[in-house]
Amino acid sequence: MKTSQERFEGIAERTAEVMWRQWLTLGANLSGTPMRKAAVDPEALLAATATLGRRQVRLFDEAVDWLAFNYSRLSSSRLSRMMRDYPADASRTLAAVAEWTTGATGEPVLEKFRDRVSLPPIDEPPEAFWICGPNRPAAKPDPIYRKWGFLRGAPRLRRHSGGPDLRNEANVFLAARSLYGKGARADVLAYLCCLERGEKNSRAIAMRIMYDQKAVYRALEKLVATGTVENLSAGGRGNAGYYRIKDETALRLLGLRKRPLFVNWHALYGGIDRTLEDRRLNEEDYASAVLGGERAKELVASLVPKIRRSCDLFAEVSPPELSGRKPDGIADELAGFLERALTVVEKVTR
Amino acid sequence: MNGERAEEMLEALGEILDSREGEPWDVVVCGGMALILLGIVARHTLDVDALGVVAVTAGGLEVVRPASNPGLAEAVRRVGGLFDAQPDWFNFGAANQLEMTMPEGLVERAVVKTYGNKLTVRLCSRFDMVHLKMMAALDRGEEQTVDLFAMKPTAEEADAAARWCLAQGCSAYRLKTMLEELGHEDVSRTL
Repeated sequence: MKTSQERFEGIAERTAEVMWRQWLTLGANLSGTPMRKAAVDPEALLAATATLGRRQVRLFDEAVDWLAFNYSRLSSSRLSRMMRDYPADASRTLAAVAEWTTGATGEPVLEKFRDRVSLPPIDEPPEAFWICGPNRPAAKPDPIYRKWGFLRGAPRLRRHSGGPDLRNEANVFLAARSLYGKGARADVLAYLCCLERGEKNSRAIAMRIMYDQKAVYRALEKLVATGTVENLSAGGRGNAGYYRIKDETALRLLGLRKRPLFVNWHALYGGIDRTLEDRRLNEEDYASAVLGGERAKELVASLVPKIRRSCDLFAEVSPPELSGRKPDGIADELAGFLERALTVVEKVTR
Repeated sequence: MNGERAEEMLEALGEILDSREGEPWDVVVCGGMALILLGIVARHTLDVDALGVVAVTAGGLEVVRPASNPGLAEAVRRVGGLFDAQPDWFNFGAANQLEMTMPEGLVERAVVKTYGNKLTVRLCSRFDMVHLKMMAALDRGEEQTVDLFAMKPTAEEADAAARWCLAQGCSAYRLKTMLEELGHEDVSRTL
């Protein structure tokens, strides 16, 4: 029988596998078969790589390589919105990546995002960048990463990455952006392309795809006006409306042969990251059944409903069963939930 | 909450108290949970009734009302949250009994259990629980009577408890009736 620690290490490895496959699908220089069934969320993947990716040296650097040549496909504002759900050092990681990559390529990589990130306090000592393996201090820390509070050796840009195959259904978000430009309109359309029966109201859509509701509403109005999307329950702003793609034209326009599944990657990755980080930063507490159980219970209360509500796929994942559970069993229940969620996404990323 | 659950929760309470700054706690527990943890009755109860804290006085060890205890209350609340129990599952609601004079030697007779380095729980002995349950039965009626009868006090226990209750001002008539119901007519006649 696996210990709690072994189970969470397994969760970290499985998550990394899913992320590898998604970077591959986006065009990163990795071996394997791209996924097709579920849509990749590029900002969610980058956000997660800034945290979970610090446990995977090669994955992180291949992601940076991809970013150097594909940054213009990403929305800085959407990325900033997502990064609010992560701790400050995650934003600083991305800021370091953006600044370093800008220097290496001469391109303005995620400039608007970087401008919004604060440097670490002057008196805060830098931390080792990699959260994995024996953390030997870098012989010559890279100055840009050092500026952002991290110690790692100088990265190397291999320039091996390509762009995404926009005919792959999994790249529906990037395909929509290639037609409509970055912004709410493209992403709302991409989202609705994933949903056969549509989605109720602009508020629900905004929450699912991490946009401002006003921007989503305006995008929906335009899409309805052009006949791409239909509103089955018109009646004004906010909670009114039920939207879906009018017919298959939109899918054909985006070059999709079939609808990909929508997965709320941001909710899942964020939940897994928060769980793993809590265990890493509070090792002493987790050595105690009581204190660790308390921490695990708080995580269950805050993360599980959020993940289960985030998309239809996760709504089907059975929640942890805590009733009558002793404190030392709570972390295992949380592990079980995350394992079940990963099993579900592994099926759609094969 | 049964005995097993209560033990788990007291262990957890001890662990949380150990993990934080603060003074140790030495508490006297009475009520249904004392009977359950002593193995005298087997039932569930809603909470752990603490009578008070142990203080060293000129007269020896005494049980007194605790001073304001936000640290303990917070630790209790945390354990309640962890076990899906009420936030005051451990409380000093029984401390109002300290308005009476407690049976002499109550603290010394208590069964001591420790949970970590900062929590000592002294379970009122069977002898003292007969006293307290008899008083409670006379004072509050049926529910407390059930425990008293379940304990099947001996003649010596009933006699000592009855005399203590009389000293606290209980009605001799009601005491005699209770003693007869307990099967101790002999004791009743000597009061």
